[in-house]
Amino acid sequence: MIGSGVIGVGAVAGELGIISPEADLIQFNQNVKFREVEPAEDLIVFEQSVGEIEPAADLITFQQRVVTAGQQPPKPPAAYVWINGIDYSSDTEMNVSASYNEDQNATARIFVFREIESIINIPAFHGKKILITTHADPRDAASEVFPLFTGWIETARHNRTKRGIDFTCTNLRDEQLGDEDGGQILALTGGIYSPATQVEDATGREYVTEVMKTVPGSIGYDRAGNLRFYTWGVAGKPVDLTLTNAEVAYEDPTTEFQTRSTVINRVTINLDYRYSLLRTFSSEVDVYKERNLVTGQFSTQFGPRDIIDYKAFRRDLMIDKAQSFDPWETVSFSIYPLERAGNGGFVFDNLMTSADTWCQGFKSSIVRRVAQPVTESYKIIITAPQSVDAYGKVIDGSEANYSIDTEYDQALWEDEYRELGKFDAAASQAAYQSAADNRRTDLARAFEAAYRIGKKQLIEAHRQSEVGATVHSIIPVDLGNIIRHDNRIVDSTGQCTGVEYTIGDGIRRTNIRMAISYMDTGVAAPAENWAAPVAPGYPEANIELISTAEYNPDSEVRAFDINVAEIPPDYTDELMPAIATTSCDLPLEINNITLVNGF
Amino acid sequence: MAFKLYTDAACTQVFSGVLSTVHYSDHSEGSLDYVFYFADVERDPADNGAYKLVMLGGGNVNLSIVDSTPGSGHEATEIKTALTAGGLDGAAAGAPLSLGVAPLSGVSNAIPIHVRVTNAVTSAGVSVELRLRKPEAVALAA
Repeated sequence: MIGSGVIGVGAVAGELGIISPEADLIQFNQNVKFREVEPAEDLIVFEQSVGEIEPAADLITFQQRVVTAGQQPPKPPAAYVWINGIDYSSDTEMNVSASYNEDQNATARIFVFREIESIINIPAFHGKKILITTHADPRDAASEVFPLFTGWIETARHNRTKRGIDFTCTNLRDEQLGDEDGGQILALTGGIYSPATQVEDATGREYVTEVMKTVPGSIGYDRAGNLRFYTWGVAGKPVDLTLTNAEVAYEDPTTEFQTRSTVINRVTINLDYRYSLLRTFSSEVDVYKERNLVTGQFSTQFGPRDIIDYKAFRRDLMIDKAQSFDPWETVSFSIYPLERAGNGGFVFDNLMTSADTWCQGFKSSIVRRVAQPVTESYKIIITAPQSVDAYGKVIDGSEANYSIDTEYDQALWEDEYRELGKFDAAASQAAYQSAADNRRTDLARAFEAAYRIGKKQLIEAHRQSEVGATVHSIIPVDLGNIIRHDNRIVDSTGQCTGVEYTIGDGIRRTNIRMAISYMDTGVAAPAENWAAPVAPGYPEANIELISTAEYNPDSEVRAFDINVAEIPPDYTDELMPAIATTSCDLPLEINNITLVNGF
Repeated sequence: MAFKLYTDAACTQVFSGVLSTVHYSDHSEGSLDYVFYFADVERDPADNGAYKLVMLGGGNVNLSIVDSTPGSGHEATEIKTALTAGGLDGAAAGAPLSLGVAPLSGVSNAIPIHVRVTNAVTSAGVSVELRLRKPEAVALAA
């Protein structure tokens, strides 16, 4: 090979050249090794079933009454009372009452006579299970026996005057709900739980309460003590009980329409979502001085001559500087090689003899990372147009405010992350960004939970009108049953929200209260059109900034003035994109009612 | 939430638990037949057989007749159970009723339980001695 001896500079005929003998530049030593890719596979699949123990239980208790042949069966007790499995029916004064109200504990009261002079152990009754049943036909011992109340004794008080014990009882609704399995409550009710919109880390009773905030319905225990859930409303449900003139008492039914002040027809939900946007700032620092830098002129007898600054820089110092822009990370750099001194004339260049220890500067590509806090704000507005029409204005309920914070250690990105050595920097950055924004799933759930909570508030606000009636018999009816009034006063269909049973001397009475959702409007029910707000998306995270480097020949040491880019505060201070707002209409059920001013 | 008895095939009415019967000392009323439905609809509102009831030690889930005072009063042999009405005639008196190894949840998997009560007592009185008992078992995802 014939060359000039300087890389990049060709040899010119007539100039001194260097003859290099032919030689192998690279000797490849290649070893081929056996390589077989073994794909990932599951060695053990653990199939784990978690079951729920169902204790042994009596499905049927046979109550057998044998009557002497030829005689009429005696009239059965008006009610059967079982305390801790013992039949107290014959000892019970016929004053039994049981009361059920939506979303509350059911209660009951009974009085039990005790033998005169017998020893009474009051604490022995505390907390004992109690079952009160009665016959569908109080004259027929073979008629169906249905429960009036299943629960536990709350208080037992000795009644000295009556020589017996007064019992108050409760079905411990709240306590029982707290013992239910949370997953099964979710499955039964269709509710959802989001720690962002509901109490965080809720368990037991609190968990059920939080789940039920998202379900327009009620949960409790029926007369037999079984868990019972029902959705609010009558649409699409069969009528369980019709109350005609023959059923309702003379002075009934009664109506109570909701007050104006309880009405709300718009709910606004604000939800903030905070995460860290992992920004990467890149810049280029170009530090270069040409070897023959003309810095001025001076006059000679031969005319003006250039003043030339021949300065070059030590290569090791430049390499150090090229990598020293902390907190910026230098991802690559190159060195400007030493240039030959001279300006057409002869200049003795004493640096060329050690050219690889000198250079003209460097060019560095640098990056810096900032985890910028971003707060996305969302607003969900739920309006009930039928109610707005009925009441002539928009009536706002309390605004609900929720927030979700992504807890992210900024130092992971700003200090510890290094781009150098990453096989796929883009994928690596995406993984880090994902970690800094890892609650999007919670956000989606929170949207739905927040909407459901608002929806339930609106429905509840229009479900306050009630129709009550007394029936002079004991009717098996449960909360949530669909009741139809078809009598001389009221023609309407609603949902049972309260039941009271009373059995006394000559009294068998059932008070039934039903709720209707009624408003005076001709506006058709809108379609339920809720959709989650759309996220604004990530702002551009990769920003290029300009750095400058200028050689200053006038300074004492003739050095570079390097100005590494400043990151504007817009990229470091909290970023708040425009609020993403979504509005939706909520249809309300209207239960028409015809009220006759009759007798 | 549990497997329990309902009085209707749609499993909307939970059986109260007490079956009240009237008999005559000369047994002139004959046998009294009833039908209930064994199901778990609360765990499986979607009615897709999501859960099964199995015995902890394996084997069939059997409903048994329990007599609290064996040897006196009413005896377990007064009760017959079967999965069909026609099966009552041939059922062994007082024998347990097998529901299989894994009854499934849901309304559509409700199992009819036919019960026949045949009084054998001749003296008048009211008695609560006999019970149809469900064994301890475990509900698992099917």
